[in-house]
Amino acid sequence: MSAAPETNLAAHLRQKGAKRPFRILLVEDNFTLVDLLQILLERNGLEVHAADSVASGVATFKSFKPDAIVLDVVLPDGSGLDLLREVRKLQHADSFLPAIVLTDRIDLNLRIESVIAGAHDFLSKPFNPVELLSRLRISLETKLLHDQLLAANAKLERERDELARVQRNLLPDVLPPVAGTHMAGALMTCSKAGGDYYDVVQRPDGKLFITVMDVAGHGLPSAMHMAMARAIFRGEASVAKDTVSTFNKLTYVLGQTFQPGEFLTCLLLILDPVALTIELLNGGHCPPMFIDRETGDVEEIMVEPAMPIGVAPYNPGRAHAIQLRHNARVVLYTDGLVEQIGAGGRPFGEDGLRDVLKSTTRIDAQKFVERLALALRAHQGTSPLRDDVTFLVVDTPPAKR
Amino acid sequence: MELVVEGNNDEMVIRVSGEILASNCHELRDAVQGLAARGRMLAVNLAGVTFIDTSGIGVLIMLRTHFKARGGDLRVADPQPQVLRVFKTMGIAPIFGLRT
Repeated sequence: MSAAPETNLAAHLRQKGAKRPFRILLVEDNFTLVDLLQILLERNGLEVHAADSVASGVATFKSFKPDAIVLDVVLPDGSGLDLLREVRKLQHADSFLPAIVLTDRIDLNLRIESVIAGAHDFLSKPFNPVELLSRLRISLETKLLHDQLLAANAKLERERDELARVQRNLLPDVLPPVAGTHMAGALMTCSKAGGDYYDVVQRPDGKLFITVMDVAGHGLPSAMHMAMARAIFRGEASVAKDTVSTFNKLTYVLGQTFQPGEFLTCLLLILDPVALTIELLNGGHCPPMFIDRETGDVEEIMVEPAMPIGVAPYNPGRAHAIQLRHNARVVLYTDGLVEQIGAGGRPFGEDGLRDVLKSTTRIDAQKFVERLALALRAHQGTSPLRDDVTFLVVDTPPAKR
Repeated sequence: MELVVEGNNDEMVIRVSGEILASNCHELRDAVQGLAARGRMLAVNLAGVTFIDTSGIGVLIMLRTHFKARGGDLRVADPQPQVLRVFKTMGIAPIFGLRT
C-alpha cells in the first residue's frame, strides 16, 4: 500500500468550514480493495460504511445518509449504475451528492452511461489511492461549497421573511367604520418586501387622515424608505393642521435620504366623514377614482399635482377641497395596479379598474377589495407581478331617508 | 430600446424609441451619463417611446439632477400623448420643459 498523503483530508475540509466529518459510502465487492480504501479514507478523518451489492448499497444509503459515494460498476446482484440511478431518486432534490465510479474497463460508452446515471467522476482500476483521495477532495470541497451556499440562502430567506412580517405589521390591520364610512385596503408585493404603503388615522377632530404611498422601485431599499415614510406620516397625521404640512415634512425628511432618482409618490387626503368633504393633496401619484354608486358614473379625481417627493428640494404642494356625495366609493391605488401586464402584454389599465367599479356597486368595501384583487389576478394570468400593488377603498354612507 | 445621439456638443439630442422600463432603463442611464461629459444641454426626444414606467421616470429625474449639478439642463421633447400623460400625472412636466 502506498503511503497516506501527508495532508489530512478532514482537517483540510474543516479549515474550509466543514462542521462535521464527511460520510462516505463505499460500494465494492472486492474485499481486499474495500479494506485498503477503508483504511485510507478513515485515516483521512472520513466516516466510511461499506456495502458489497446493489441491495445492501441502497439500504446503507438510506440508513447512513452519506455525503459522497464511491462505487464499483460490476456488483454481484447488478450494475453499480442501477444503484446510482436508485440513489438519485432517493436523494433530496436540493442536495449535492458526489459519486465516483470505479471500473476496470476503459470504455467510453461506460463512461458516458455513468455520467448519465449521475456520476461526477470516474477512476479506472488499478488506480493510485492518492489520485482517488485528490478526486474525493475536489468532490467534497464542491459539496461543502454547495451546502454553505444553501445555508446562506436559507438564512437570507429567513431574514427576508422576518422583514416581510415586520412590514406587514406596519400596515393597518382592519379599518373599522367611522361615522358610517367603510374602508378596506389590500397590498400585494412582487417581492417579499415592498415600497407601497397605505394607512388611515382617525384624528382627534373626528376626521380621517388617509394616505396611499408608492416608493419608486421595490425590494429592500424601497421597504426601508416605506418604513421611514410611515413613521413620518404616523407622527404627523393626528396633529397636522392640513395635508400640506404633512407633505412638507415628508419632503423635508425624505429629501435628506433619497439619492437622485429615488422618489415617492403619495396621495394625502383628510376626510370629514360627516360633511363628506375631502382635502386632497396629490404628490405625483395616479389620481383616485370615484364612483357614484347610485348612478354608476365613474370619474377620476383630477387635481393639479405636486411633484413626487424627492424630485426637487423645493416642491410646493397644494391642497384641493372636494365635496363628496353620499353613497360614493373612492379608490386610491398605486400604478402597479393599472400597469400590471396580462396575457398579450395588455395592461390592466384604468379601464380595468373602471369595469370592476361599475360591476360591483352593490357589494361592501371589503368584498370590493377582494373582487378587485381577483380581477387583477385573472388579468395577470401566468405573468408575474411587475410592481407592488396597493388599493384602498373608502365608501361614504348612503343618504339618510 | 433604441438610442440615437444627434447634434453637436452645445445642443445634444438623444432620440429614444421603444419602451423605457425597469428592465432596460439602465441603457438610457449609461448612454446619457456618457453624454454629460460632452456637453451641458441635452434634449431627450421621446417621439419613438410608446411606454414609460416609474423606473424610467426615475432615471430621467436622476439624469436631470446630474445635468443640473453641472450647470446644465436636461429637457424632454415630443412625447406621445400617453407618455406625456405620465409626466403630467406626476406633476413633473414643467421641470422637463413640457407644456401642460
